[in-house]
Formats: sequence, C-alpha cells, structure tokens
Amino acid sequence: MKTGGDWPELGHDPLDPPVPAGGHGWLRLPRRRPMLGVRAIAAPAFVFLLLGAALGPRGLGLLSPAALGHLDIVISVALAMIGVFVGLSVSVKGSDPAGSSIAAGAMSAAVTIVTVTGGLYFLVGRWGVALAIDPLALACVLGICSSVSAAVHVAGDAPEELRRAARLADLDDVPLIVLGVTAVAMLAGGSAAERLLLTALAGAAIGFAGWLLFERASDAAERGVFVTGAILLLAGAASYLGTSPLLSGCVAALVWVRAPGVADRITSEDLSVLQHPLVVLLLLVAGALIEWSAAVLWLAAALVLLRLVGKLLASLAIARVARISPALLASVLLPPGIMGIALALNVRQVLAAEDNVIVPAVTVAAVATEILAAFLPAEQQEEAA
Amino acid sequence: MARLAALAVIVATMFAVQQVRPAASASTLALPLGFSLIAAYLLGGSAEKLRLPRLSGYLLFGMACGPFLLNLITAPMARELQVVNGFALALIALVAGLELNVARLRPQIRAVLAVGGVTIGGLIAVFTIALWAAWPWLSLPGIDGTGARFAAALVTATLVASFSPTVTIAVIAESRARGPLTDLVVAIVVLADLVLILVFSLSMQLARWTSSAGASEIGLGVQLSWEILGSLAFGAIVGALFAFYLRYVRRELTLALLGVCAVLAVGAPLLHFELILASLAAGLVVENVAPPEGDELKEAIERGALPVLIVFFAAAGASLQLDVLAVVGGTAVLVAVLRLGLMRGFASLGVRAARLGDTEARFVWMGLVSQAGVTLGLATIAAAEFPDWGPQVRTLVVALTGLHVLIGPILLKDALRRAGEVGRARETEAAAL
Repeated sequence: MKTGGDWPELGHDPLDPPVPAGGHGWLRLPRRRPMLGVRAIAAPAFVFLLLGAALGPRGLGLLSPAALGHLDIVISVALAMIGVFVGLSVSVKGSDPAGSSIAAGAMSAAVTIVTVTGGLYFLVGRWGVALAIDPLALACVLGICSSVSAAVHVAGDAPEELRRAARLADLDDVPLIVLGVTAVAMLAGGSAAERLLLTALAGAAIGFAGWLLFERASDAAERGVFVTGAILLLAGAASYLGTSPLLSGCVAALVWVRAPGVADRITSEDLSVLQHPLVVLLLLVAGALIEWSAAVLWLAAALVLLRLVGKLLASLAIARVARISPALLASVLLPPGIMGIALALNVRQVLAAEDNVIVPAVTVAAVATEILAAFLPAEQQEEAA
Repeated sequence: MARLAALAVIVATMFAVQQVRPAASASTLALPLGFSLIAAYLLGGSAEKLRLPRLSGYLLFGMACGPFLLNLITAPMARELQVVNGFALALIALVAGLELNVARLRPQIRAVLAVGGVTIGGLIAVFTIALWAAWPWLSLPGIDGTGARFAAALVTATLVASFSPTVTIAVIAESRARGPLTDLVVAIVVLADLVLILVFSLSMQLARWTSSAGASEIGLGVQLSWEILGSLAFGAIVGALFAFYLRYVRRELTLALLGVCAVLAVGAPLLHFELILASLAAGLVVENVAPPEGDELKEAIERGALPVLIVFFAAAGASLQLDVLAVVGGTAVLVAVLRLGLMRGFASLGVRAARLGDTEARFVWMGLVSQAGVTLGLATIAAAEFPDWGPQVRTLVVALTGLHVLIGPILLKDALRRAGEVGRARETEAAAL
C-alpha cells in the first residue's frame, strides 16, 4: 500500500468499513461494525435493505417497478465502481500484495463456493422446489455471491494477526470477479467468450482514455466530468454487451494502476464522492426486490447455514498457512460483503424476468448472516486486540 | 494532443462496442451518458478555442453523433438520454433563481422594468400575432380552432422571446466586464427569466384549456392557481429545506444540490406543478431568505451542474430531428432575423422610456440575444405536453437556440467591448487592492 504525498492512503478495498473499538451493549451493537462492508454509513446497511423492502412494490409502492427499471443504471454504475475498487485493491502501486495472500484469500472464497454450491445443488434437488432457473446455475450463482466477506480495515496499531486476517478477507474477491463475471456472461446467452473479450478490451481502452485525461484536467469539476464519464462508459459498455461491469471496471483500474502517474489515486478520490449514494441506492434496490416466497425462505436459510459451514471450513483450512487462529479468521470472514448483493443484482439484470429468487435469497441471507455475525466476532477480535 | 487521442479512443470504443448486437436485457443508458459526458465536454473545449460558447460544442456533438449523422448515439439511446431532461431543467432553473438577489436588483428596477417589459411584451405580442396568422405557412402541423392556434402561437412566441441568463452571465464572467451596460443586461435577463416562465405557465394552461375544448370540469382559474401558486409554494418549501440544510448541515453539498433537483424533478410533475417555476422559486428562497455563506454552494453548483448540463445539451443535439430541421430551417432563419430586428427596436424604445444613456440605447439589445437551457427546457415541456405540434415547435426552437447560442455570445462580447466595459472588473479589483 502506497502512502504519503498529498494523497490519502488507499485502502485495499474502499468499500470496506473501519473496525471500531470493541464494546458491549445492545444499543451499541449496530455500530460495532458497519454492516455488509459498507463504510461511512452511520446506520447499519441492513436498515437500507429493510427500507428498500418497505418502499418497494410489495411495501408502500414508492419504488415502483418502473422506478426500479430507471434505477437499473445505478446497479451497472455501482458494479463498475466496485470493479474499479477491486482492480485498485488487487494491485495498488508500490504495494502489490504477496501472491500467498491472494492465494489464501482465493482459497477461502473457493472453499465457501464449493461448500455452498454443492450443498445447495444437493438440497434443491432433494426439495424439488419449482424454479425458473436451472438448479445448477442457481446453486453456482448463490455460491459465488456468498463467497465474499466484508473485509475490514484495521487501525495501524492493530495486532499483526488481526491485520493479516483483515488483509486476507480483503483479497477474497478475486474468485467472485472471475467466476461471477463468467457466470453473468454465460447466463446472458450467446457467445460469452467473444463478449467477455470485447468487454475487457473496452475496459482497457476506456482506462487508457481516462489515463490520458484525468491528470490533465484543469480543475476538480473537469476531473469529475472525466471520472464520472469513464465510470458510466465502463458500466454502459458491459451492460450493452450483456457482461458484468465488474470486469470492465477491474480492467480499467488495472490500467490506471499500471500506467505511470496518479490516475489510480485520482479515480479513488473522485469515486469516493459517488460511493456512498451508489451503495445506498444499491441496497435500497436490493431491498425493494425482495419477494417473499417459500422458495426464497428455504434458499436463504440454506444459504446462511451453508455459508457459515463454508467459512468455518475455509478458516480451518487456511488458518495454519495464514498463521491466524481459526476462530479469529472465522470471525473476520463471516460478515457478508456487499459485492455478493451487487453480483446478484447483476445476474438479475441479465436474466430479467426469469429470476425472482436470487436477489431476495442473497439479500435475506446477507441480513441474517450479518445479524448472526454481529454477535460472534467481536469477542475474538477483542481478544486479538 | 492527449485530449484528442482520448477522444479518438473513446469514439473508437463506442464504435467497436456497437458492432456487436446489444444483449437482450441490455440497459443502454449508461453508454450514451458516459460517451456524451466525455466526448461532448472535449468538443466543448474545442468550441471554446474557436471563441464559441462551450454549449455550442455540446449541441454540435449531439447533432454529429446523433441518429441522423454518425449514429453513435442511436435513436433509442437518444430517447433514453431524455431522462436527464427533468433533472437538468430543475438544476438550470434553480441556478437561475439563485442569481436573483432582490436587494441587489432594487436600484435598477425601474430601468429593468422599462427595458425588459417593453422588449418582452413587444416580442411576445408581435410574435403571437405573427405566428397565429402565419401558422399554416410555417411548416408547422395544422391546429384546428382559432383559440387552440392562438394558444399554440402564444406558447411558441414565449419560447421565441426568451433569453438565457446562463449564457449571458457566463460571457460576462469570462470577459471580466463591469459597468452600467453589464449590470443592466444581467438584471434584465435574470428578471425576464422569472417573467417568461410565468407567462409560459399561463400560456401552457391556456393551450391545455383550448386543446381540451372544455372537457375538463375544473376551471381555468383553478387550474392556473393550483399550478402557479402550488408550484411557487412547493418550490419555496423545497428551497427553505435546502436553505436549512445549507445553514446547519453544510456537508456533501454537491450531492445535496443534486438531491434537491431530483426532488423537484420527481415531485413537481407528480403534483402537476410547473417544474421550472417550482425550481426557480426554490432558488429564490435560498438566495433571498437564507443566502448561503462562503463559496461552497457555488463550488457545488460548478461540480454538480457541469455534467448535467453537458448531457442535457448533448441530448438536445442528438434528439434534433435533422430531417425536420431541413424543412424548418428556413422558418428558423426568418424568425431569428425578425427576432433580432424586433429586439433592437423594442429595446431602444424601452431605453428611451427609462431615459438611459446613449451606450445602453445602442447596445443593450445585443446582450439579450442568447438563448439556451431555459428555452430548450420549456420547449421540451411543450413537446411532451402537446404531441400534435409540440415536437415540431421544439425542433424550431432548437434550431433558433442553435443560432442564438452561436450569435448571442459574440454580439454580447462585442457590445461590452464597444461600451468599454470588458476587463473593468479586473481593473476594479486591482484598484481595490
């Protein structure tokens, strides 16, 4: 991680929250750790999910299906922004994470994906629940969505073990990007490989154009136009091609990181302005799309349990390699990341009317897991601290 | 050079992406939004180098990349881009309201009323009669009924008579001009904005009334009261809340400003209020009741307004029906020439009535020629409301605006130079130091 100069320190994942000091008490519980990995939102993120559900078509109806259709662009832009942040986090200039950290993070996510996918595929087959989507595809998508943890930022003086655990949780989004992007392209139909390649090339080209423009902007307003335009282009190109904006955003970020200059830092700083409203809108949309049904409840319950098992298995599997106690690692890996919800929304975009269970199941499971995690991890983290 | 290369890369990317058939579920809005934002802005910079207003660059970009020429922004994309209209209109009117400081305008009110009143009144009266009489010969769709045609002529005349505070103030700021002519022109265009929006609201109500041929059970007076007073009240409430936010919260002002515009853009149509009137009222309340301290709001406007205006003007250019324009072009030139002549005549009459100096008498009309955002915004409202004749009127107005946005700034700068007011703001500031 490169620091210094006039630029603020770049975190590995700017969507992640800071870890506050410990503390007990019901009233302080929601503020112990910002939920779902959303930083700088005073209220826990699940409040926005519930608010979205209340405002949505099955609630007050203020977020009507037509309004949600208009907000489709928000999902694409948020995904592109998340892709950019992931690209920036995987390789921040001067601080490339060790390969072993990435491998450990990826392994953690992979164990969860295998556990959740396998378990869900088995259970869905047994239950015989009528679903509009192929059970294997459903299990795969839910497995990928549940793999990400809400990686946490830790204070500079935090114990080394906690910092390592947080770093590992930061780097578990690589499988989500690779598998999630592939899944979205395949579900959209047609020639997935060609469209993925074109999306990556478009991301690189937009990244290159951004690199040419960002540093040469005469003032903040002009720079804002360039950065906003680039993010919209990244989102738009991927949406047009039926792929995930996570890919185009990630590729563009890699260009900004690898190219000379400070395009990566400019992007990070400017996007931080858009980050909070976009994340809030994303959560509201996800909440508004909750449709209560037996299938959703079954899937969400299974997802919570299987994800818990997956994360515990992952913690046991990599604790020795990572030199972190399994209990601490599990406490850090358990809270779900917002990227899972974002990917579920992305899948819904390409499946359109075919899907009405993925987003609700992931959202409900995320809220349930977050509530569960709010009770579990603090003791371990306090012990480590 | 780097900007040119970036523009080339973006155009090439846009072209390459569009070679693939779009995904069935694809939302195409983000692509033209991003493309317009960057490419139109870069083209606006080139226009500035040619001593043209940036807005002209944005419009030209939209025309060039729109469905009728390069087709990089396809017809469905151009339609989707229209979603920014309401938002942009709210922002433009809010900013116009923020420029209306009643205390600052008070010393000039007599001259402003005389010159502005005579010019606007004269333009609207002459154009209404002329358009009403000549409507069948102007390549505009036929309208049944004398009253309906008169209302349509009145709406069109109001649009033709309107000014652009945004462009005028931008030119004056750029020229660092200061002096009696500068003050008079700014005061007229800003106050005229308020009057024209009111007249537009009235004429729209009249057009609705005449086109529905008494089908509505609600009286015209009731509708007018609801729309105008309701719009003002709604805008005042939103403005007061924003002023409260500016005074006591003062955080994330750009987002708050855009949020206010979103509330106005969504709330006003929902309540059947006039969006521009409500937004103008919101700006007026903020500026005159609880003016913000410091430059934070100004900076927030610069940051937030720029992307919205770029997309708005680019979308207006892309939605320009060039095939219709080919037919309307002759009419547009004719109307523009008539407007210039009438403006000069009525402004001179107004100056004489106000007993102003020779400089103002000779040059004030040159500062009133520009048309831009508000005019396009009002035309868009008319087009949406009256699909029979509104779109063609909007095309005519877009053509007129295109002419006036090119000619207006050049004329204004020339007037300021000939009045000896260019650069005087800099001299005054230097003397003060």
